[in-house]
Amino acid sequence: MNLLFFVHQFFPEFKSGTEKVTLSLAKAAQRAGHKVTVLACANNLEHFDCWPSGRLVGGYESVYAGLPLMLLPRNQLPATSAFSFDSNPGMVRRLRQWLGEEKFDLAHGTHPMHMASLLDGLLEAGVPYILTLTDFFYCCYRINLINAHGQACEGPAEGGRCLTDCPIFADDGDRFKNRHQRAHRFLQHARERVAPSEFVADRYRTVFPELNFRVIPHGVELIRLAEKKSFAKNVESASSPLKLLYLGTLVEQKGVAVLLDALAKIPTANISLRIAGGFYGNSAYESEISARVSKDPRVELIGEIGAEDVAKELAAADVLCLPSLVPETFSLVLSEAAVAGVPAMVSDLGAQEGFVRKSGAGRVIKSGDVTAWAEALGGLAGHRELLGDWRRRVPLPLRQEEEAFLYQSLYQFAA
Amino acid sequence: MDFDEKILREPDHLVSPGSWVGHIPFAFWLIRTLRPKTLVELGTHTGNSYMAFCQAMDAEQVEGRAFAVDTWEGDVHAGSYDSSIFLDLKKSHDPRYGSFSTLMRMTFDEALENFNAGDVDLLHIDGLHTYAAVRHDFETWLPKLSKRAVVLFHDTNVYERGFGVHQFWDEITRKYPGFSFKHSNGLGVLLVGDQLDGDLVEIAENPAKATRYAHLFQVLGAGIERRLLIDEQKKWIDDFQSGIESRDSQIRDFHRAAGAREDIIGQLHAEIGRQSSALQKSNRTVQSLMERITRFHEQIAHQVAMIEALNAEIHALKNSTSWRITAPIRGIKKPLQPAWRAAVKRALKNLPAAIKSTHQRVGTRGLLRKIPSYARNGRQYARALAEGRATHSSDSSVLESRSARLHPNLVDAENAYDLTVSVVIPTKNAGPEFEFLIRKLKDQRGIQALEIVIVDSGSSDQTVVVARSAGCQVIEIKPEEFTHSHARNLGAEAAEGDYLLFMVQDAYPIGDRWIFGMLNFIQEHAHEKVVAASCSEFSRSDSDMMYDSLIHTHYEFLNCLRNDRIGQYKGDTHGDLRSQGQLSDVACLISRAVFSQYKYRGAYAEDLDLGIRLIQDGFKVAMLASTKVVHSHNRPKFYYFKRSFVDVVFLVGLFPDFHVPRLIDASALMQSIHASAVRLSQFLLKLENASGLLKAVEILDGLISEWRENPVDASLQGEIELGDESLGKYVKHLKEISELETQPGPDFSAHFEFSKFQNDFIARVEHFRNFVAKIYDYLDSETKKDLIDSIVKIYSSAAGSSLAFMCLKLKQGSEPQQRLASRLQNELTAGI
Repeated sequence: MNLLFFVHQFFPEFKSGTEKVTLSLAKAAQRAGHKVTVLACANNLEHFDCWPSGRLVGGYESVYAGLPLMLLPRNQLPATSAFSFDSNPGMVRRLRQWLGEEKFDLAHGTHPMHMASLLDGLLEAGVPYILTLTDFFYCCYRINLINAHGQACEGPAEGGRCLTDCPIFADDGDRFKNRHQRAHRFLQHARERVAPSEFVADRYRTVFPELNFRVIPHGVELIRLAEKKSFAKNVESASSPLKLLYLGTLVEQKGVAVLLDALAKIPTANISLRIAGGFYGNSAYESEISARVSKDPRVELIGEIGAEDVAKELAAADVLCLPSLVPETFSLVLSEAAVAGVPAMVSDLGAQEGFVRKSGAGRVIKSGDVTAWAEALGGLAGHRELLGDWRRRVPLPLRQEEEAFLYQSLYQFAA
Repeated sequence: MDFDEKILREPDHLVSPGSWVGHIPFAFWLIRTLRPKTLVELGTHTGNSYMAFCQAMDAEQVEGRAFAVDTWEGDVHAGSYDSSIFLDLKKSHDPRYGSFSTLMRMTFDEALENFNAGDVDLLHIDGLHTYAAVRHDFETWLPKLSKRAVVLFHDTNVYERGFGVHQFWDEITRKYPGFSFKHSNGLGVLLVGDQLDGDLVEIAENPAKATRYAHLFQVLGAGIERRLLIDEQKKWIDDFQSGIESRDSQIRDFHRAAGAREDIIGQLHAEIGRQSSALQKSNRTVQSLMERITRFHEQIAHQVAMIEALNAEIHALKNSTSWRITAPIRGIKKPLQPAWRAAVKRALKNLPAAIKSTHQRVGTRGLLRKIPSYARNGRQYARALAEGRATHSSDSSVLESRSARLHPNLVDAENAYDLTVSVVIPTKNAGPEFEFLIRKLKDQRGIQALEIVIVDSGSSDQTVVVARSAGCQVIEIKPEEFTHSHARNLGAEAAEGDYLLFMVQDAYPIGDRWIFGMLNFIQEHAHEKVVAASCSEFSRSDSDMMYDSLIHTHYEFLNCLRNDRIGQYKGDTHGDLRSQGQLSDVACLISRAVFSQYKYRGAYAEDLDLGIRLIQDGFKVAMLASTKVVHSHNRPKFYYFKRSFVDVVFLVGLFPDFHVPRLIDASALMQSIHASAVRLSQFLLKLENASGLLKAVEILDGLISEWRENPVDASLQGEIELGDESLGKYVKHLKEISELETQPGPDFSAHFEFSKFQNDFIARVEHFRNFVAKIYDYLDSETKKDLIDSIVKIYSSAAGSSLAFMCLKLKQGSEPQQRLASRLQNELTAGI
C-alpha cells in the first residue's frame, strides 16, 4: 500500500509522544513493505535537512530514519491553525493535486493541528483516511477539555461552551461553531476513528454520539525495556521501606505537591519516594518542590532521566504514583510500569484511572485529596502483602509492534 | 479655610479605571486638613485613591501610617483580575511610600486584628458596593475609629448593578453629620469622631458652603479626569499606530513574497515548456528503442527455441536406457508438442508488456544493459514469459487466498472456544524477553485453558527459573540431545491440550486474542479439512532491511502477504510442495490428535516436512496474514552464508526435482566468491565515503550496472572489508583452498563459474532492489548503513548457496572432492 501519515509536527524538530507514536507506526509500515510518506508542519525549516519539493509547490522534502518527509512550512498555513480547523485554499488546491499524483491508498492522521488544509485536500482528492485521537483537539482547541478556569469541560456544545468558557476573540461565536462543524466533518468522513484509551473514546462518544470510536492503546518499546535486567522482584524484608516512584514531567498539573503533602502527613511511615522528571523551566515551581523535598529525608529528587534509565528505576520500585490533577488521554509511563510488573497508585482522573480500575493492579485515589493520599500510602506501608496481589494483576500492555499491526489490519479495510 | 495651590498638585499615580480620580483634589485637601495619624483604605484596586492619600501625606509631612487592605482578586463589581494589578501597584508604591505605608493583601475582616480600637483617623470604604457589604465594613471597623475620625464612602451616587452605598449613606447620615459630592460616582464624607472641628464641621453644618465646595472640587477633579482620558487616548493611538506599522510591514513582506512567487511561477512555466519539449523528444527516442528491443527479443525467443531443440537432441543421443536417462527424451517431445508451441506463442504475446514493464522499472539504458543477461538466461526468461510472470515465483493462481480478515482483537464479538491449548516452546538461553512471552501467553483470552510446556536444552541464563516460576511445565534435555523435531515431539508428548501450538522462544503474540484467531480459522475451515495453521511474521522494530525483504519475498511466494491462504496438495514438484505445504514453527497450531499421527521428523525444516506430509495425505494447512506473530532477526552477515548453505542442502535433499546448477570448476567458483568480495568491498568503500543524500534505487542500480558492464575476473586483487570479520576470513579461507587443494579446470571454466556466481548475486540484488524501490527513496546515514549491510548479506547468501551446490556436486566426484565437500559442509552447518 501507499500510505501517508500526517501529524502536526515531527522529528527532528519535535520529539514528544505523538511524534514517537507516528514514527513507530510509519517505520513498522515501511518494514512491512508499504510505501510510506510522513507529512508534517515545519515550524522552522532550519531544523530539517530539507530541499524545496519538486512535487508539491510550497512544500519541502526531507528524510528521517529512512522515512520520506513532506514538510508544510508553518507560514504557508493559516495563522489560526494552531487552534482552529481553518485551511489555506491555495494549499488545499496544491495538496489535492499532489495527493492525486502520488496515488496514496490511505492516509493516517495522528494529530490534526495545522492539518485542516490537508484534510480538506484528502476529502477533495477522495483519499480515504483514518484518524488517531491522541488528544481532544477535535473537540477542544485547548486540546485537553479543561476550560480557561481550570475546570473539566463537558464538551464544546457545538461551540457554544467554548464561547462562554474559553473565548479568544470578540467574534468567537461563528468561529467556534465553524470549528466544531469542520471537526465533525473530518471525523465523520474518517474510515476509522481510534482512541488510545477508553477514557478518550468515551469523551468523544459523548461529544459525537452518532460516530463510532474504537480503542487501540499506544504500544511500549518492549525491546528497550527488556534489555535491562529482569523485572522479577525480590521478597521485601519487613524493615525495607515501601519504595514509591514518581516518573513524569514536573509541572503543577501532575500533582507531585499532593504526594509530598501526603507524605508530610505520615512522617513516621516507612516509605521512600524517588521523583524523576524535569521542570521544563518553571523555576518557581522547581524552587517550591525542591524546598519541600529537602524537608523530608525519605524523598529524593533525581531529575530528568533518559529512556535507558526508565527500566532501571521501575525495576527498583514497588509502586508507581501518578497523582495527576488533570485527566490524561494516555499514560505511557503507566504502561511501562506495567511491563516492569509495577502496580500503580493513581488519581481518579483520565485514562490512568480506567487502567488501574479495570486491572485491579493498584489503587485509585481522589485527585488532589492530600488526606486520602496519605491514608492510602500509610495503609499500603502497613499492609505490604497487598503488593503481591496487585503485582499479579498487572496486565502486559501492547508493545509497539502490536499497535502497528492492529493499525495495519485496519488499513486493509479502510483503503 | 486652609486652601492653597497644594491641592492643585499633579497626582503621581494615575491609571485606569478612573472612577475615583475626580476626588483626588479633595483627597489632597482632606489629608492637609485632617493630618490623620492612621489611615486605612478598604478596597484599593489599581490605587488611584490610596496613592493620592499617600502622596499628600508625604508632601504634607504628616506623621502618620497608611494601610491599603485588598485581596487584589476582584469582586462581582470590579470583576476578577490577576496578580498583575497588585504587582504593578506594589512596584509604584513601595519605593515612594513604603516607609510609612503598607499594602495588606487580605480580606477586610482579616485585617481588623492588626488595628487597635480607637486608632483610625481616616477610613476610606471602597470595597464590595452592596448595601450589606458596606454596612458590614462600617460596623466592623467602627470600633477602630478615633474620636476625630472621618469615614469616606465611594460610589454614593451609583444606582445600578446592585450598588447599595447610596442606601447606607442615607441611613448613616441620620446618625452622624457629613456631606457628599455627586461627581465621580459620588463620595460621602462622614464625620464620626466627636472631637472634630474646623472646616470639615463648617462644611457639614452649612449646606450652602457644602455646595460651593462640591462645585469647586468637581471642577478641579474634572481636570484630572481629562488628563487620564488624554493619557489613555495617547496610549490607544500609539498602539493603533504600532498595529498599522506592523500591518504595513506584513503587507510589504507579502508583496515581496508575491513578487518572488510570480518570478518562480514564471520560471516554472518556462521550465515546464522546456521539459515538455524534451519529454516529447525522449518519447520518440524511447518508442524507437522499444521497437528495436522488441525485435531483439523476438530474435532471442527464436534462438531459445532453437537451443531447446538442440539440447533435447543432444540428451536423446546421450541417454537411452533407464528412467533417469530417458527423461531428456521426453524433453525431446516437448518442442514437438502443441502445448509447447502454444507456450512460445504466449511468450511472444507477453513480450511487449514485459518490455514495457521492465522499461518502466529500469529505464531505457537499464533495459539495454540487461540484453546480455537476457541472452545468457534466455530459457528462464522465455519460460517466465510463457507463464505470464516476470520473475521466478510460485504460481499464485493455484493457492487459495482468502479475503482479508480483521485481527480478532479488533472484532467486537467476544467469542470463545471450549477447547484447551498447549503451547510447546523449545528453549536455550531465551533471554530477557522470554518472561514477556510467557506473560503474553498467559493473558490470552477466547480459549478454555492454556498450558505452557518448555523443553529446555541446557540454558545457563534465567530461562528455566522464569518458566517454572510462571507455572510452566519444564522438560530439561541435554544440549547434545536437541534437534528441532525431537525437542518438539517431547513437548507434544507431555502436553494435554486439545490443540498444540508450537512456538519459538523469540516470537511474541499480537493481541490477547491471538491464539483464538488461529484456532478460529482452523475451526471455521475444519469442514475443508484444514488441520493446521501458522502465522506469518511481523518484523520487530529492530529488524533489518534484509530480513524485511526476505520475509516479504517469502510471503509473496506463499501468497499470504496480505491475506490468509489455504494450501493443499497440487502436485509433487518442489515448487508446489513448498508453496502449498509451508507451515512455520514460529507459531504453528495443530490439533493434538492429528499431530500424534505424524509428529516431527528430521533435523531441519521439520515444519515444512510436516506440512507437506499433511497435504500429501489430503489435509489442508493455512498460513495466516490476519493474525501475525512478532518475530524477526538481525543476523550477522556470515550467518546468511551458513544459512543459505544449509537451506540449499536441505531443499535438494527433500525435493528430488530441485534444480542443481552445473559445476565445471570448483576452484574457479571459490575464486569467484573471493574476487567478488574484493570488488564488493571496493564498491562499498566508495559508497560509505559518498557525501550527500543518496537514493536507495540509484545505489543498487549503480551496483547492478557496474557489475554487468564490467564483470569481475580472477585478476582482481585487494582487501576484503565487508564489515564482518568471520565472513572475510571464510572467503579468504576459500581462496586458499582453491589454490592449494583443487585443480584448475579448462580455460573457459573460470569464465563460466565467474559469470554463474555473479549472475546469481546480481539477480538477488535486482530482486532486493525491486523490494527497496517500492519503499525507500533518499537514505539517511542510518538507513544507508542498513542498505550496505543488506548488500553484503545478499552476497553472503549467494556465496553460501553456490558453495552448497558445489559441495553437492563434489560429493558425486572423486574421493578428495568428497572429502573437501564433507569438510566444507561441517564448517558451514555448525551452529545453524
